[in-house]
Amino acid sequence: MKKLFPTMEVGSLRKAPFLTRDRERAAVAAERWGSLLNVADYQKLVNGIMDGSVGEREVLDWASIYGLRFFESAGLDIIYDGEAKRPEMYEHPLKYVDGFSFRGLVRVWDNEYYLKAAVVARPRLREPYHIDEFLFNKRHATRPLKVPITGPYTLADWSLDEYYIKIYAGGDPLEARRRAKHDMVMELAKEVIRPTVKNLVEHGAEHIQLDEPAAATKPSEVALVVEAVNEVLKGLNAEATVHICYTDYSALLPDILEMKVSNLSISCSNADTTQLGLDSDSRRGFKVLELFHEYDAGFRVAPGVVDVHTDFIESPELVRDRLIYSAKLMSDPAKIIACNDCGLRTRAWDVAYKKQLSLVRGAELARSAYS
Amino acid sequence: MRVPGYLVGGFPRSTELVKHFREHAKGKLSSEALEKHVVENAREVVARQHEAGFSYIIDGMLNWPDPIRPVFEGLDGVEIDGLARWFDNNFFYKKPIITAHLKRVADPDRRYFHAELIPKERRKIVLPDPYTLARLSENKHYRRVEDLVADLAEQVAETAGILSSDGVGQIQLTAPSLVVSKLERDEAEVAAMGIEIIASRCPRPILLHMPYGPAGNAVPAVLDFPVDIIGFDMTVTKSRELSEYTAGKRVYLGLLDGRNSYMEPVEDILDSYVEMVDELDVSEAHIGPNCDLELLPYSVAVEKVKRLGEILKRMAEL
Repeated sequence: MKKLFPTMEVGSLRKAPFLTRDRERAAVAAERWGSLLNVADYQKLVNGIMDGSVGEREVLDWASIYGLRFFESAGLDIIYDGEAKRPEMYEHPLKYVDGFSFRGLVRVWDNEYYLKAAVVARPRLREPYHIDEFLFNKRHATRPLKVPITGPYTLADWSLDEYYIKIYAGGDPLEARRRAKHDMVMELAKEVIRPTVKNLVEHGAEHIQLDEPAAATKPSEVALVVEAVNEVLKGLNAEATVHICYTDYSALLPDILEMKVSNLSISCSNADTTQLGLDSDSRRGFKVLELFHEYDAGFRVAPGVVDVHTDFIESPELVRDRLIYSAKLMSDPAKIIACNDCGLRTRAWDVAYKKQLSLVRGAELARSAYS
Repeated sequence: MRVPGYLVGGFPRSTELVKHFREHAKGKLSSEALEKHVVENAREVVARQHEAGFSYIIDGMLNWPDPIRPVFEGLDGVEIDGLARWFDNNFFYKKPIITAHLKRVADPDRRYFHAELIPKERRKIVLPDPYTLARLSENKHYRRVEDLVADLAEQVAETAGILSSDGVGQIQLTAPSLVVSKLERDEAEVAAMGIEIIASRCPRPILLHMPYGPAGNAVPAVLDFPVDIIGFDMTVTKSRELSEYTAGKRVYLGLLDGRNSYMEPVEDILDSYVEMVDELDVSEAHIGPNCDLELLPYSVAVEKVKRLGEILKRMAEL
């Protein structure tokens, strides 16, 4: 029998604490975390920071190693490097694609912004990306890797369209927008994301995570999300997870059931209470799992049992209750993966690490409840 | 023909202002210094609307954390919770959880509208409509949704009253929840009741604007709502959804796409406007973007304002 409640992270971590211009602070952080995470030869980094001999590229390699050890030493089963070499999930991939032009900052919430691009010509992949990063991580990881990559629908939905809309201009404007969006998403799927994922799989990636946080933005386009995801993954020999966060998941149904993936990773804890309990009031953030059960979803669900938008440290008992409640709603503990709501980019390493320790310990407690 | 044109929601912050807000969040910039930057930037946003010849002018709403939170500030009975998606956008608001009877314990912050930057008769205040507020909240207290909507309407009216105390040219109630799905009769009645409370207490004219959904989801019910102008998102509405009804009041046609950087040719917008006005039985049709420009980069929003200005100029020549 496979391990119940395997633990998995979603992707990003805040930049490694030693990535600062203040050498002294950087060295102290490299020393502290190197020791805490059991990073081999971390003194080389500390010395390199102090005498200025460590180059920019080398520091990023160290950041990847620290990221891997961060999750490994916390005890997670499926890991990555915290996306240590990626500035973020939208701007970074577009740097490898012709046909986009950055237009400026756009707000996502409060003071959070991203640099938004417009598609100005047919997108063309210059070179498959994430491959150097993956090969490096593969050499250094001691646990199974899951490679996160931004999905085609999200890349399209987060972009402005100054190209496809012109192709259909002049006709019915609503139909023009529909066709323009379809073409943009599917061309990104076929010409950009699939070749990149295929290249990763050919180089040994066994688990791919397509990040599609925009998937439920427009309920009328969920079928397009599914079409694009299936296009990217068709025939590839790798486990696939799709991550969709902070949304009304009921809007994804029933189309999402057609997605040919092993796991669906979703956020729940951000809308949950922090009190212990297995009742629907305490676990209000997990109600959506009822729907996946009702529709008899073929994939496993990875509900976020850790909220990545607060510094509150979930106790292992809270994580346990969230997992047991999820399993109860799905009527099968084997259909649940213990996961975070989303990437941990917004949390300090100290907070994030404690949250991951709780994730692992909470999963153990849930497991023992079923043994 | 002279056609009134204007914006229907917040303007994006400039890159510099984004930086100032971040510095403030980190404690590196005082609230007073931040407010000074907000006013400077608002002055520029106001000037651009003047230059474009807009009939009503907003201050940009540059210090609003999201389109609804200011209404809940100073209220007892509500907790601001986790992030929730703002309709079909890559933008998130913080969800209000209604835990007790809503009661005001402090006045709304007057700095949410910089009235002094705009001549009285052209000032425009944008607030959420109470039904939309209720739909975006989690109600854990009120047994009947109409009671929640009524109390929210009182709070919106009070906020509008305070922000417009020195005079106002137009008050807009933004109501996406009326059009994002089919509005049932009982829902329309509740929404109308909320708007009636505001209409009875606030200066006129009032524009009820409904972005992000086709007008067909809310007409004909909304045509009888006690407002002076009804605004539609024409980027998602087919003109035939409106053509069989008599509005009996002025309409606002959101023809420019406020969510895309593609600059619509002036002649295309003119043609659409003329075609729609021919089909609709209305006394006056105003024009502008379908929604706020907040989800565009600052430089693109500036271009959209200019484009609307060009359209208004061409219309004036006709």
